Amino acid sequence: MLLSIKNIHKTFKTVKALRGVSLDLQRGEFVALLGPNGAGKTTLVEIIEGLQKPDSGDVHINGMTWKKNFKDIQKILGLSLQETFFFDRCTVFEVLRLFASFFKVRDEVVEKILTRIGMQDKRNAYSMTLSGGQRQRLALGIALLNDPELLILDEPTTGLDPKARREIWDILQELKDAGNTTLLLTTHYMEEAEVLCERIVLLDQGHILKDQSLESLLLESGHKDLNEIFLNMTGRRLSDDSVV
Amino acid sequence: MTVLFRLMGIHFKEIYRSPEILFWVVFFPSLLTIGLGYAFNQKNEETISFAVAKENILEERGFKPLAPLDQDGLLVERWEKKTSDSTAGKLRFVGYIASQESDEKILLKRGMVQLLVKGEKDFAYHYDLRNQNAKLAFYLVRPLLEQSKAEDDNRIVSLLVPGTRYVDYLIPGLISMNLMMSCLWGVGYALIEKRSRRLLRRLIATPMRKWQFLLSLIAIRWLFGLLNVSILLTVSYFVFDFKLVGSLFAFLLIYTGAFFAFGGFAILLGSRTSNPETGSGLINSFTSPMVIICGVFFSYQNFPDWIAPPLKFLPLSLVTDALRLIALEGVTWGFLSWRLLVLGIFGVATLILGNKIFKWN
Ligand SMILES: Nc1ncnc2c1ncn2[C@@H]1O[C@H](COP(=O)(O)OP(=O)(O)O)[C@@H](O)[C@H]1O
Ligand SMILES: [Mg+2]
Repeated sequence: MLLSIKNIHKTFKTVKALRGVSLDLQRGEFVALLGPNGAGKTTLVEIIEGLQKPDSGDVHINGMTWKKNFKDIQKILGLSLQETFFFDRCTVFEVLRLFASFFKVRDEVVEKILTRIGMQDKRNAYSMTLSGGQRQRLALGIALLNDPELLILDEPTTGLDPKARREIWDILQELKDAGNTTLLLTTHYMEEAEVLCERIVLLDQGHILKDQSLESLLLESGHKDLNEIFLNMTGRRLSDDSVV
Repeated sequence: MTVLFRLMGIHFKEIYRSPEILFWVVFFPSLLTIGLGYAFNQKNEETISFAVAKENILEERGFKPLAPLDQDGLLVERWEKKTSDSTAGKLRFVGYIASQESDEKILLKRGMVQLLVKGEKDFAYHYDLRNQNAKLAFYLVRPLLEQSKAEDDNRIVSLLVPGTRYVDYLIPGLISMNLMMSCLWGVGYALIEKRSRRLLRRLIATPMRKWQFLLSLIAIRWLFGLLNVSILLTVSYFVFDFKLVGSLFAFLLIYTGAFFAFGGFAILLGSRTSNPETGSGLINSFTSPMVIICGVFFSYQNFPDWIAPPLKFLPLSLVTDALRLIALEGVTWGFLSWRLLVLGIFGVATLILGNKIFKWN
């Protein structure tokens, strides 16, 4: 098991963001953490990433914990945050090279990543001039620099237009075909989960509602798509703009 | 090491590629030096203004009429007299004729004069004692008007010897003020801004060490500061004939100590907020009082006795005084070492505290 989290609780002042979340990821799985805004997705993935501390519960990554194996986990983990800006007046290449130096990764790898995220033509563009989709691809490129075993992406396509979204999906699909990576991705777009992930974890108000394969979820509920399933279970919508 | 250099490279590019940088690093300090320096340079003509009730006394003393001043509802006659001698330098006296009391008030309120001369023969001089300029005007105007009362009693000798002029006093102050600003904005504000854009959070999710990031920010500002100070010193040399009396090494040592201390304060002030507006308020509330009370423009010895002694321990005072001692008196070790020590203590304390409460997330 690559990732195992048990009974995570997290409260912010009065908001119970996570109320006992448990989840296991096998190597090679592509898993979508699907839920509406405020469901607790970011809180959960940032706890997995070691950026936030849970009030209670355990996180094990490849059998290691953040407390004991901080450096070793960082080596096998790749991540992108929900929304990040990079150094405004530095180019795509310079930003990638900086992050590469943190992981002691050579410049050839930076070149490969640039090709992989389709940004060779943008290598000399300042990061402040990038579109939302390009910035997300740069963030993805940074996440891939250390060839991570576990890749965690927080809403990698939120706010992007359909074309930009598809470009990200294509990069992730290639990754899936290569088969060396395990992916946990948060989203509130049903289609994203359907296209990329065979396993869906439905999160709502800090609870996991469902955790099963896409087919069995559709079969069991008798609904056509995830939006309907969610609407049926909670009486609320997954997102306001889930039509891709 | 690679990480540190890469980080410094990134900060360096960010700074030199930003359009404001030329302004902040080159023009602003030069303009400030030249502007303030000129305002206080006694080689230039100094204008002394005052108000009298009638022009006859001015005419008697050889004043010449100027075009009357007509501005915002105020219409007053003006008379002028220029004097020049080897001791007091070039002086230009301007007497405003305030025939009504209401004119006097307006002239005072608009800052056109700071000295009122009343009476026809036995003059009475009205001014705010706390106003240094008014006092100066009094000492200069009085012998001019009361020619009978031996002018020699009131001789004023202008200090023109390099190293003793006000501009000499001012330049080290401007340098230390620049260092403080460059640290607090360049490091403190940069941290806040990068936190607000979630970049800090992204950075610490990598094997980069936190101290590498902070050190790289300060180190780059240290380098840019060298450029900044070189420009200031060069401009001062050519425009005001300002020369460093003491050793350049001692100067650099204090300069580095200043970066250590101000870098610490920058990290402390930039340690928590992710709101740039809050951040600039915080930084301003630190720098503005310091500029006033730390002897940048005038000695803090002018403050009451009970408050002046502690003021010399403020970081900006330490740096300003030390730079002044080196630049003007050539003092090297005796009076510098304890200042360096206190700066070091400030640096360590703020770094420890700042690090403790620092929010990377
Ligand atoms: N730092 C925080 N302080 C206070 N409340 C927070 C904080 N982070 C998240 N929350 C709250 O926790 C809940 C879950 O947030 P989040 O994990 O960001 O949801 P999602 O990513 O699914 O949109 C929300 O109600 C949010 O307002
Ligand atoms: Mg979120």
